[in-house]
Amino acid sequence: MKKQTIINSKISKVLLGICILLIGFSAVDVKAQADRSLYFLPILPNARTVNPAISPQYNIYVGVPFLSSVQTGSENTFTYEDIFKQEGDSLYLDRDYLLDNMKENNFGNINLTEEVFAFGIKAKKNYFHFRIADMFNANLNLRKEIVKFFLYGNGSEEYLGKTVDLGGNSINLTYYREYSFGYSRQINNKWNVGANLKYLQGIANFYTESLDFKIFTDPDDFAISAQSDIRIHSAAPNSDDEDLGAEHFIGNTGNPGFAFDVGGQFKLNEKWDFAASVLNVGGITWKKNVQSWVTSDPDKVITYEGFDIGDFFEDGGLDKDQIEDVFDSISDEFGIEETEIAYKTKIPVNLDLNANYNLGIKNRFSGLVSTQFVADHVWPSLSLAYTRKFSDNLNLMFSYTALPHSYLNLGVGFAANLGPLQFYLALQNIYAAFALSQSDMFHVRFGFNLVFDGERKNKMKEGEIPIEQ
Amino acid sequence: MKEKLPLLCALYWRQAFSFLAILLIILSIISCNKFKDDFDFSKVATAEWNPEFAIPLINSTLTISDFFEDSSNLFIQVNPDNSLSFVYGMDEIFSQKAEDIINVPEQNFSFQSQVDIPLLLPGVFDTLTLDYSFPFITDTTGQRLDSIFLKNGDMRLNFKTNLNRDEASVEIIIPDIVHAQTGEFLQMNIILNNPGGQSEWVEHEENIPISDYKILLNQEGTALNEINFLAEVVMHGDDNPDLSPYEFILSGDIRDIEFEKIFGYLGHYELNLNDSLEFSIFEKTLTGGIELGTGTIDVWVDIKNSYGAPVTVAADEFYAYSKVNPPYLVDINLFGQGVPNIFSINAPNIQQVGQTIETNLDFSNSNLAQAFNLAPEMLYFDFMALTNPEGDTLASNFILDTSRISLGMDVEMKLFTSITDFIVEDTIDFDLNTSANEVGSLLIRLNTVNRFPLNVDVQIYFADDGYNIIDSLITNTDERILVGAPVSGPPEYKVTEGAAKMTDFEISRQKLDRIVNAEYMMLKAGLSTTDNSLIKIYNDYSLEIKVGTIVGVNIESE
Repeated sequence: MKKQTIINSKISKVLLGICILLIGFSAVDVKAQADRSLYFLPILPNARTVNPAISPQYNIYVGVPFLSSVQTGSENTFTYEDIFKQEGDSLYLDRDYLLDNMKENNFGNINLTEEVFAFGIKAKKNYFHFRIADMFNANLNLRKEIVKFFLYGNGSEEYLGKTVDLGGNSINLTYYREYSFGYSRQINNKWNVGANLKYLQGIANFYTESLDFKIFTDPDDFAISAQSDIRIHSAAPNSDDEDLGAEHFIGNTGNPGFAFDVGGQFKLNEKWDFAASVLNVGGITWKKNVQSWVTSDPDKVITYEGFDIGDFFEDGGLDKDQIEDVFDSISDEFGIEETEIAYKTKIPVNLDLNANYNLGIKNRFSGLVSTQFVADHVWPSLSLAYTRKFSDNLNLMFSYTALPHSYLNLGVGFAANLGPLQFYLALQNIYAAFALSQSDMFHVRFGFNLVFDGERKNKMKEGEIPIEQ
Repeated sequence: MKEKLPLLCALYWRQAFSFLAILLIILSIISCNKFKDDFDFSKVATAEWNPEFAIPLINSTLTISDFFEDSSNLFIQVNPDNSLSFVYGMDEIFSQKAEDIINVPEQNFSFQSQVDIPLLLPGVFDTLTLDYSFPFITDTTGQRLDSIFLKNGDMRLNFKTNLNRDEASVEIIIPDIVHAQTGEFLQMNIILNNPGGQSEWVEHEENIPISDYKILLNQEGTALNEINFLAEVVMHGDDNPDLSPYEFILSGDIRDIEFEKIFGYLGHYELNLNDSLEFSIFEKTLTGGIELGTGTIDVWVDIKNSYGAPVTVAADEFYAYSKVNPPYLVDINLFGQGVPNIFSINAPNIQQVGQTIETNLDFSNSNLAQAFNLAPEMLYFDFMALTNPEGDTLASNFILDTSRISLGMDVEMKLFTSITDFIVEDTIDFDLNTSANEVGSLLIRLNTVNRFPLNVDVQIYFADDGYNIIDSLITNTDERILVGAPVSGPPEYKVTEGAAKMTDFEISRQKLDRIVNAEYMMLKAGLSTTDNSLIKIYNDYSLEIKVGTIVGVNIESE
């Protein structure tokens, strides 16, 4: 029986290896797990990115360049099928259907992380970490009112003669590269603390500092009165007279920034341990290829009643080019000025509170409250997970995550070490694999690392049980 | 069994893990296909809906100066009571200059004398005086030229004799040709020496420029238009035989005569002055006349004359013309029906030589008001100025070479009239050169506050490059676009308040498809005064016009 068990074990490992490779090569289409999942796969050294106090179990780890951590995700208050209506083989963009499915306030987020390179080194109670990663984050806050306004139009019965408040929306896109230097220290048997210091290389940005707009269309003569408080900023990788090239993404150092992470771990006893971290406290100063659109006088109500009749005629004729010139100048009527001034943006800050209950050394139950602060919005989430630790080389986890407006997100993931090669894959919302169009949240993360235990393997000094995630 | 249980659990977990890994692979493959299906944007179609966007296009306040502006022949005059007049004026026109119509002909003369001269002994001399005259030929019959100041001219003089004296000369004096500054007679001394009588004839010819001279004619005691010559022949005695009778021949001409001034009686000369005065206010008229109020039209004729002679002006033709309104042509009677259009003008007197004297004429008794009811697009005149109309030959005239008559005319039309069914038309270029596929519907709203006392019915036609009409804008032709503002009664006939109107034009998609391909927009407007009554146009009248549109954007299934 023992011999059979050993054979089965070997076969299982081979199958597992094949699965890992196949999944790895189809990584583009594989769903994986979000940052939250890093809490629930304790053998992953990448977990330092969510809590800098974490000291991985490996003496050395090196992330496979460009493949050590590939993550993408989206969390929204709406789904694809909330937008498009399926009828037979066709999808319809139907106004009433769309508006019925929209909430008063709609939020959306897409984020991408591509870790270019990472490595970590343990030296006794100290852990040093370095990482380069490209980060893209897009947040959208869209009020139903503005969508309805553009779908109906200011000339419809819905809006003609009424003052419409189109404010409260925002679009924020940031693409930057972070160079992170991390350090963690085991204070004692109970406490670990750590911090990451990051230099941020801003590459592209679009930031709506303020997007308040009220509009009234007169029902008699269609005069448009508007009061706006618009402050929109953008920074492009290249200027208008340059073609976009690799140098704009790699060598772009015109938009510097700094941020830091701090974290701590506390092991209460054999069963309970807790962790907390604050991530991405900092921002970027955008100076290069910047452009801003700012309302010159936010308190002023500007009324556009039309142009002089002579503006539409040239040389005694009505000319299309002349009409276009007239309409192009309409934006000038609303007092929005274009400038080129530097501005600052903040990186969305994350506050994570994690608690783990260890049932033996193979089972762990975890809870995580993760809150992201985006501009003036708070995006909280609650995750519960079970992790089965087969060994120091194999973790399997199941999770449940609740988000505002999305309460049923079941996730699954694993992390496995095949010799020094470590592979992991996590998916936070398994349902999204079957029905992405009906899902308002999906996260996938995968990666390959090279891990080297060194002398740590099979050595567990009494009183020196490392605090692991 | 107890030992087998942990192993079985481990095996179970490993198999479960393998299954899960395979499941994840299958999920990955499924999700790939599902992703492609779910997010196949080529299957996305739009349901049909039309968002409507309202936008104001035009906001203008138009005054009279937006419709008519001062130009080279139009001046918009604000009268003391703030009413308006259109003053049409023409550029001053000029007659021919005197030097172009009055010609001093070339003069030729030839005198011959045969004289017996007694023998003269050496050391003795004698003088023989020969007196000649010839009639100065004038440009026209009946002219009496008292003096002609020359700015150009030449006299050729030839003297010939067969006198056989060793020493002789002749002094030719022309007392009627004197230097303009010094007053000295034109004279010359010619040597007639013929030593030993060797030549049969002694002859001398000379060309004398006389541009600084004046020719005096008709001096007291002289005959009409005659020039006199005196030839004093001085002869010295010698031993030459007496061959009397001797012949003396004086001939020559005065040519290339250009005058600077002429005094005398010049007779009749006709000077032509013709032109037309166009009225832009009526140039777009298609049909329809107006009825002007009393005292609406004034004509001022301003004539400047530097001919020093009585002049009358006769209007050979003077009429108002319209190519659209019958009777198309109305003769203008300046002084009333049946009274000839002839009038005298002022002329400079002898103390005003070189000056231009003005005559201002105001034809308040003319029938211009009736003529303007034709809504004429122009006034045409052909005037003839006649010098010395009475033919008084005793009159003293003067002219300079630059003398001429000029004429200027202003017509003031007070905007005090009634209009009924006055139709104007204009064509403007129209180039949208675009498609209207994105437009599902179009509503154009016109808001006006009309402070002119004019009703306006408008139609706009759209035409192709061959001016063929392809569509029109307004389908409800019964609806008046602009309502005339109410007017008070006499004497002000002034608008009391603005007339507001809102008009909607709905343009279907089919109509829009035709309109965007048009090349021309032809506007046709019918005008009438409020209640078809008399009105005045004041300077503070305005038309507020606002044009807005609601565009229904066409978003439809594909």
